[in-house]
Amino acid sequence: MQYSSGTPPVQRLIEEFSRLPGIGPKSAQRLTYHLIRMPAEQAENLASAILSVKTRITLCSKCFHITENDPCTICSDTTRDQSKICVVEQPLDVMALEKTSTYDGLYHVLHGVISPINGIGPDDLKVKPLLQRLIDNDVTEIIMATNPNLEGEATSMFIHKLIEPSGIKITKPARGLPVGGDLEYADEATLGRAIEGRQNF
Amino acid sequence: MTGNRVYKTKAIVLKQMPIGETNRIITFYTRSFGKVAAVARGVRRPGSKFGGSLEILNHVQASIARGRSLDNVNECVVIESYQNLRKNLTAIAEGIYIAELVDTFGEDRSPNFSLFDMLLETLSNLDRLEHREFWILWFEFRLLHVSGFLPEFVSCVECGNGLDRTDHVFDPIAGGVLCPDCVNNYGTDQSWNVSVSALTVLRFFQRSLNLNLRSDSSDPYVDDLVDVKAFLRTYMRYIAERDLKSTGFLDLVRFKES
Repeated sequence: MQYSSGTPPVQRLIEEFSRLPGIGPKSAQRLTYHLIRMPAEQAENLASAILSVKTRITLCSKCFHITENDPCTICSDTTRDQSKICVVEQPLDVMALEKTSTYDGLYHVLHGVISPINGIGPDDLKVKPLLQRLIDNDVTEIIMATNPNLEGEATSMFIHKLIEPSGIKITKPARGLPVGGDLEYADEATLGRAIEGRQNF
Repeated sequence: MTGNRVYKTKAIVLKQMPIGETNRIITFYTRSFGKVAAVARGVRRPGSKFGGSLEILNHVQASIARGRSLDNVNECVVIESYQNLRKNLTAIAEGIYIAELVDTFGEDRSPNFSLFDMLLETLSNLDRLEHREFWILWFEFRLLHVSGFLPEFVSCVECGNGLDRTDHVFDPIAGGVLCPDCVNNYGTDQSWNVSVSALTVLRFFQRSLNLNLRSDSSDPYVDDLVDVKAFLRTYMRYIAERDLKSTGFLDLVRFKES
């Protein structure tokens, strides 16, 4: 007789957990049995948190960051510099940049990156709304903060070509050595860029 | 575990796919083992030991360990990263197109030294940024040759008679160009017309298969590549039985550049 890991509701929850990124069948089983042992109140809190994320979170109509209120808190904050827009791939990148507390401008989330080998082109990203934002608002600087890999760079270059004729200043974050890293372990591309982008001491 | 659990090989990075929190599945085209997919653990962290070595289109020396389902990348050192190519958007799109062709036509764990060497040579040619369209067509032609799909362009594929210098009908099922007499007997609804300008370049390629083309070999042909480009694109689509995904972006950036 084939071993069954439980009754249908248990099996269903295991299957639902296994759909999540980074969760394999074993982890899904562990999470499910942890939930079964959990007090009912905690489980309800978890369920309502999941539901509220799906029902109350939308995308900001200006920057496409995830938000409860449209426009998002960053776009509606008048103390921020409205003339700078930092273009990023994902909402998580906004959160990472916000943690630095060194950038006070606005953002624009592309929701992906140009990936020709996977058939993802500029039309699948929020590129057109970015161009419209530049027409509608008085923007003086665009910071292209896509990931420093081939697809991220290609996305930046593509957007750069579209914006270049407008004369808006386009910058990108410095590339170089990670804080706390050893020089001898840096790869040639990173080290080369670090030397190219060296600064006055 | 046997002693040769870890294998070392020269490879080109064809594509990457995120998996788990910080890992990526890297598809390599290796010189010694053909197409190989392996997991690079922690590669998405900024402090990863791999650094930028696993970037798409890098020529690397990789050390890979056999795993139960997927192999694991142990170490990877860059041999050549084609920095000129990476600074030019159209060249990037062309490089990715070449990578997709190798991903489509290259076989898993079946070495093809010619294909690997052609890929390396083409990336170097693209990195020089001159006559890139010509080098891509030359790559496509030789890809058909090394994968056994090369049609006949010099004489009629059915009767073997020589062909006049004019437009002809190409039939992919017959496997080449048909003379006017054979079109009526052997032509199928899959056939299409090939212009004399496309045939001129295709025949030049066919004659040059055993030669190393130099950078000036392309000079007489670079201004007249539209038809041959269209022909090879259609034939590649016929063989792959689908549109290659990267052609949409390639056409878009080429159009914007022109």
